[in-house]
Amino acid sequence: MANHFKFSGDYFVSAIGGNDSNAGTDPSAPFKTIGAAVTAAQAAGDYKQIIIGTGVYQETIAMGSAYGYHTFQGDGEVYVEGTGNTFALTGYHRLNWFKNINFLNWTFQLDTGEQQEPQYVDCGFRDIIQMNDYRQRYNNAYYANYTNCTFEGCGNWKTNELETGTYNNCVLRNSNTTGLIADGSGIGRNTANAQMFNGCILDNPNAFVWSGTPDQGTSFKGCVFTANTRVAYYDTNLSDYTYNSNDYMGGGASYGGFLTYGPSDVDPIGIIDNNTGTFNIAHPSWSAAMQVGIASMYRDCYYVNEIDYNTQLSGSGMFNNLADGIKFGISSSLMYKSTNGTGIIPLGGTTPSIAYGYESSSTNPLHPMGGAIWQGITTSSLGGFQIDGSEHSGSIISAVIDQGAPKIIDNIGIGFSTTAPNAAAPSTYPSGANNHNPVRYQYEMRYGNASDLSSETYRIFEWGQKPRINSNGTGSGDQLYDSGSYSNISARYLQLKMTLRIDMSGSL
Amino acid sequence: MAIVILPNGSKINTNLDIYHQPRTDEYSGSIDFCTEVMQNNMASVFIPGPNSDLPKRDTQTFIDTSYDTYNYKIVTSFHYKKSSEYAVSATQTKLTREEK
Repeated sequence: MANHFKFSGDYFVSAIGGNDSNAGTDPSAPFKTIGAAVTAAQAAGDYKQIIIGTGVYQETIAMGSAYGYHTFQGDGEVYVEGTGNTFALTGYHRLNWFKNINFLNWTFQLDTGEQQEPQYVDCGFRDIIQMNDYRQRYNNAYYANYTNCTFEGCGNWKTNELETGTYNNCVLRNSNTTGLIADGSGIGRNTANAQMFNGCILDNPNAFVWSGTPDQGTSFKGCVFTANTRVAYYDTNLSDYTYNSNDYMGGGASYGGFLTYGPSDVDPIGIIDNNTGTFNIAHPSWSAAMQVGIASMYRDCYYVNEIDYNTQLSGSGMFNNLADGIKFGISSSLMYKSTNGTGIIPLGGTTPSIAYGYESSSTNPLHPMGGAIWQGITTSSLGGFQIDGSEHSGSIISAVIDQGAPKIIDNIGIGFSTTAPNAAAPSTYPSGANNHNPVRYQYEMRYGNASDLSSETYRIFEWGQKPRINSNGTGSGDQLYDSGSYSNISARYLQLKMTLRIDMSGSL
Repeated sequence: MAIVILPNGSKINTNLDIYHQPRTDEYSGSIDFCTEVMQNNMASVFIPGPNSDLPKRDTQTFIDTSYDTYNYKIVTSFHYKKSSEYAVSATQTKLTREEK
């Protein structure tokens, strides 16, 4: 069985199509668990590339006391999920890299002592109670470095000190990076040091995303804040500026105040000016903020009143992005006023997108009311589409979607949830020669620049990845795809065939 | 419970994971000592796994014999979700002190 790994490496893992009795060194015969790959990698030495295929992995990635230098590369839609376990990572991870992996539903992201944090690139973190284990040495938590990562519903508190940590082009939504729980209550940390936020979206309405002293090296450059997202400062010189002497921080009078962005329902020590990206120096407490160095922490930051994560939502106000909820698009032009962006790496790693929900509406191309064809699909009380209980798979053939003009497709994503991980997937169920076992999350699409697509052929692409087609017309989600020669997809009209498959190994 | 005074003067509770010691100053130096012990060579113990060519990690042990009265041993134990799997559910790292 081909597994269609795109990356080369030393060991391969597939929760859907793997088996731990395999050697794991051949992409056509991968391991089933990450634990098997780590065991093999540690026995083989350092600098191993572990390629992890699409699927849900309910296991702790344990390094033990052995040093690593390994790279864990997600190849597709990879979810490391915390059901039944406590720690996502244990052991010595300091020299490891994690790329394109989603961590979901953990009590702790990381166990063990300080300075053992890995590097994360293109990773997602969702519903993680604590990013660090507060029981670490001296109670100090050293932050990992994150690039193009998203955080949703993540917290980090009960440590005394938080050290270092860099966030490049990250999104933090309903999350905080210091000692405050996500709703803004609880004790703030006054010793968060040298944390740098570059090109990030910080979205924590009416709550805090960071707290600390203004003179310990933390900076925000080219970031966008949603209104009323707050940053709190520990400085006794600011104590007089706490609004009406109320203790917004919950940490006592020693927390001098906070800065908020945009229209505020309470009196902050400063409000950023959205027209200039600088602070509103007319605010009466501005001079105090200047004196304690707050202004120097910020460069080219802006705020937006709110982020609509499903902007341009067509046909529904009920878009329910379940498993994929940490990937969202932002279309507000304000988000792109930041001068941090080079034009290559978008702010927060996001790009404008269009989302469709499940509402019964004539403007929803995914619903029969909008022209879609459902096969074995029913609406769901959970919010979304659901396979009819009598079917082993179900498909939605969308109405033809008019983009208004030919556009290069960056990627097409899906929100997907199941109670049977690796036994159900948004995957294809084609007949004939391509009726292979699904090892990636796939969809079918036909496209063109004429509204009548009836003569076009459906091709297989991969959810969440840039769709491409090779010289013989094979889509990049197909196992027959040769990535050595390809072109991007550019079209005005699109039609999607999406299948929720619960028979992962059988044939049609 | 075993509270031990380490050669560097700090305390450690040997019933607890070395990373999860009490959050008081008298214990705060224990991880420094443990880190030193872990500079020694590591000995691994494996147990049979479902793949005969891939034994499962059972323990990883460091021993420091450089002290006069006691040897200090740090053992990381691996716990698996099922005996027939490599998927790890938890690990635990503890220090033990043994008379020479």
